[in-house]
Amino acid sequence: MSDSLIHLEIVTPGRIVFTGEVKSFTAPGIEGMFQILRSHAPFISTIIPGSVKFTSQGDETRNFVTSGGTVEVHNNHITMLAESIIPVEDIDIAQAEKEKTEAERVLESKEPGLDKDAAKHMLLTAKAKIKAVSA
Amino acid sequence: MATLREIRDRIGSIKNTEKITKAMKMIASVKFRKAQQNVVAARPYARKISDILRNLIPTIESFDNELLKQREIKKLCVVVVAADRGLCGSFNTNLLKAATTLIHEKYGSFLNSHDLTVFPIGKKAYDYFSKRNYDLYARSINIFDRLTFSDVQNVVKEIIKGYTEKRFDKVVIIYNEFKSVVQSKTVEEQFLPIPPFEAAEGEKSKISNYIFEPSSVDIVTNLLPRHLNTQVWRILLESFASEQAARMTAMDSATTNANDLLNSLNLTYNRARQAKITTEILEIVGGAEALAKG
Repeated sequence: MSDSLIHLEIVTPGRIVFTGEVKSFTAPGIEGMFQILRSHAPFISTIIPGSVKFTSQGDETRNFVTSGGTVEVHNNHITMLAESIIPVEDIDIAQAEKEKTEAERVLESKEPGLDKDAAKHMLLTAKAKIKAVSA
Repeated sequence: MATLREIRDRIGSIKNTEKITKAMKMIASVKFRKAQQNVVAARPYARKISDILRNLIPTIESFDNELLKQREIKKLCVVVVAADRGLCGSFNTNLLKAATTLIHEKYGSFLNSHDLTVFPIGKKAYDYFSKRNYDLYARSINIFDRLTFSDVQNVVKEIIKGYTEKRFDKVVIIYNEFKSVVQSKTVEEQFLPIPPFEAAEGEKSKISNYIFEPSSVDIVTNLLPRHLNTQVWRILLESFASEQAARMTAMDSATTNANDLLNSLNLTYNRARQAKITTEILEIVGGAEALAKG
């Protein structure tokens, strides 16, 4: 079986979230979802907010939600650099709803000096969280 | 000579002080250990980002990015990272002294023509520079207690904003680099424009056959601010670690001093008590003799 595995490492500024061998890895690239299997060509992509999943050796699938980052694939090594990433089971749905409302409020308000880009990013992340939990 | 009661009161108050300094030392050592772990944990992410950038940037021909490009330096921003709290020995004083020297000697010409702004991080730095009427660009205080990555993102966003709006053309950071528990070093680092990455030999061909999604230019543009985030994150963590280390040492010697003082006060107390007893006995003996004679 080992010839179908690829090494995956997920790191955030705070810690290494996961490191180990996986069968497949799926992430939301800026140009659409993609899946990485063994012997993938060298590849670098920007990741947008959305859900990330990988299937481990024992056919167990683990789901995460990320707020974006970068993925590098090289020589059967996947490195995912995420600004933040949390397992779906750890998502606080009430908190996500609150973030969504807050982001929408910022986006709709006409007050000057508000950071609309950050709000847009927050909205996307919150929506991804809500979607992942309800799926 | 002080009365017995006075000495007893002093002993009591010094015992209290000793308890406090001892507790502070223990808290500082716990925080220090945690800060040190954070410094280590932040390394893989930072290393990976600069690896990708180092490999990618040389492959892009005539890459034009504001954050990398040198421009004529007319205005300067100095970011000074100190602590939010005191009682950590000479941690703050040394850093602020070094920062002032640097501003006046190396960047004196900018200061004289009012082309220098200071961005203090940490309450002590803010108090110091605002009291001395320096031009402040922004400030970030009370962030060390619960330092999160999003605090760092806000700081970096603020700096990048000022830089792209041409409110300054160069940014340097002054902070205490962590060496060991008893030693920290004040260092100055150029933050913007980003100092050139040294290309690793032979890496160029390896990365040129990558598939990029979207283009390599977009990826680098996206990674550069995140590279800056990790830089500031590392700097703040290091500064916090050396602050806690400095507090640990300072509180340790404060506890030792309190102990020494207690010993000598106990000696004085016992001596005074003995002197009092002797006087009383002499008085009684004297009185008895006088009675016997009479």
